[in-house]
Amino acid sequence: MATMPRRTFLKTAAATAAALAFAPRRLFAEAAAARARVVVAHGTDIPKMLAAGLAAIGGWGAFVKAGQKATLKPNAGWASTPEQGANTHPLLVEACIRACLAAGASEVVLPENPCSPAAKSFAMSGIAAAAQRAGGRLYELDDEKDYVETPIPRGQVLRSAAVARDVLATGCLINLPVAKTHRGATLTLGLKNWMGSVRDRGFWHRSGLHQCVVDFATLIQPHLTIVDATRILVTNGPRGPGDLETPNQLIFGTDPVAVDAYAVTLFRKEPFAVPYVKLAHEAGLGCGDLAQIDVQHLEA
Amino acid sequence: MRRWIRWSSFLIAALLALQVWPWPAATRGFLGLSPVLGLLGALAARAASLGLLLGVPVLVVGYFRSRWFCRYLCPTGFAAELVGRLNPRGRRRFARWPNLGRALLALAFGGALCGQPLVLWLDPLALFSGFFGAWRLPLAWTSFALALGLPLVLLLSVVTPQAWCQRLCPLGAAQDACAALRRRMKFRAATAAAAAGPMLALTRRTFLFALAGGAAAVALRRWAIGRRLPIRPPGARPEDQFAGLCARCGACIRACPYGVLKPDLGAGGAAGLLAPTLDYAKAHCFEYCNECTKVCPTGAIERLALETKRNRAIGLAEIDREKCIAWHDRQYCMVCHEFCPYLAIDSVTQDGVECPTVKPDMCRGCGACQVNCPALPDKAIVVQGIPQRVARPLEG
Repeated sequence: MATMPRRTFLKTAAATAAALAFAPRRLFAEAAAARARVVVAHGTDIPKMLAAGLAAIGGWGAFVKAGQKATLKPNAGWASTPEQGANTHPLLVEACIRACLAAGASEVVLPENPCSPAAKSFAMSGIAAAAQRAGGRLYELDDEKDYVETPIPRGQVLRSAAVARDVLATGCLINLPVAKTHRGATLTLGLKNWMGSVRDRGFWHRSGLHQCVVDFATLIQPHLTIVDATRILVTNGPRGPGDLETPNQLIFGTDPVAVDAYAVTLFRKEPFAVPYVKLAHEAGLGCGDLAQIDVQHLEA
Repeated sequence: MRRWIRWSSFLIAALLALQVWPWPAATRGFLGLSPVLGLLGALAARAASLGLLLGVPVLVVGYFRSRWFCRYLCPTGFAAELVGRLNPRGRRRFARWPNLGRALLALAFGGALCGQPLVLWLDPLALFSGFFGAWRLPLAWTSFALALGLPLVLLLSVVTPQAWCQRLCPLGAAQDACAALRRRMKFRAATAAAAAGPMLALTRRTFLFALAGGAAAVALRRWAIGRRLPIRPPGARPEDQFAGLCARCGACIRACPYGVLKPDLGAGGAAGLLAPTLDYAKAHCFEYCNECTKVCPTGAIERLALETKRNRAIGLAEIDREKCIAWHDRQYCMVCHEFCPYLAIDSVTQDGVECPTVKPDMCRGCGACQVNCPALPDKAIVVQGIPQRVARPLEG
């Protein structure tokens, strides 16, 4: 057994103590990886809430790569007005596009496979106008040329899917769902929002909706999720019109499951009451257990 | 000069039939120039509107100038004349034919009095529009079915030039009737027999044709309607009238931005052949659209404001629980609820899974559920035709 001279031991111990004392907090955050983090910005001024939330979660520079494309996935699927709460709020979309461009993104694209006819969905949702004002490119996914058939090796049911090219290959992928009820999926939040980026949704419904949502999440992990909970559709979702509540919140996170888990609570439900949140947690795609999530609230 | 007018009239008519301009009223105005379509349509539907009365000036001009419309404006007549030149030796072969156009007009008039004008589809403008109007990409063979009329007229015109215009065309016959009226008035003025004789040249033969038309209309309305109602465009008159009021011009089919309207291939009974019906194979009757109601020249489809259209039920969705992936396979689905624009789908929970039901008072039969139903191989929710009615409005 090798012995360590006392002097060496003392030196090492002192150095370690000093290093620990002055180490950035980040080191510990990464050491304690079990805890997920969600930032919730409260307020009514959406651009201000977005700025505050992003500052708390690391700033745009942590997500947007200069000179590369950024892809945003708002929910722009319904011929429905911003007040009706079926689509992501256009002001949020607009502010995100501006911020991505300001952070150096070469272009900002917003691919969507809408449910209502695209022209009407994009116009009525206000997202077409928002994208135009801010300089982003919102477009309807074309069945022929905009999808790439992609294998999903970790998928249990969904083994492959035709996925939007801009979702697969991009410098920065940001999910911008709106939180609302959904008669088939209980609630639609971040994980479920990706259904608007695939060609064949029918397969998901036939084959186990919740498992397919989770299977897809093994393939596509956004760099950032921002849930629009400024107003939430609590009845007749996902399309409405229905009753609205106004939590006046934006929910930020890099762990897509944790973000959804927190968002579920706005509907006065337990996260695991939404099957895909539970399945995603169990699959290790993120943390859906509220006890394991640090939620930081901000006023903006 | 006349040649220029005829060529430009022909081209404008073709462009209007193709609806290359975003003005549905223009298409309707062009077709409405035919008094056969507008006036007989208004008579049969017992409903007049400005668009239906556009044919009046044509009749008035026809009174003073014999067949002025035919000689200057009619695109079908122009096309028939052009192809007729291919066969110069065939001229006048039809001279001994009876004037079928007048008989057809009398039939249509009698039918219109009984609510079903029978032969509006023989109108030259309807035939012309049918040729161009149903064309849309991608081409389907149903478009060809509707486009057959004009080629048949042209074929006839190659074999016996002028026969169509002189002996068959009901629009020509309508103008002839006006011209005949003028001759009669002149004759009466000349002979100063002011109080004697009937005003209209109503012969016994014409009267009998009108009577036969009325009888045929009553018979068709009663017996030629299929048992299962087809889904007709919003604002369509009741099926027994619609089948005859529709001139098969294809204007509504062309106007539908989503390609939902198709010519009916007999699902609605013999009387409704080639009339427009909604086919939810690829798209549904979109809730923010009323384009088809803006173009109908005969009033077969009543013009509906968007709000009225949104509350007009044209069909009723029915769920087949054996095929439904929620009811039968216990899968989370409810896509029909998701897509329904009118909150007409409700659900009941079975084994923790929501299963859809239809609220009949809310359902408009728009087909959004049917198009998007993911069940395979057959849709589990299918819209059936119903007599059109007003559905319960959405609250708020």
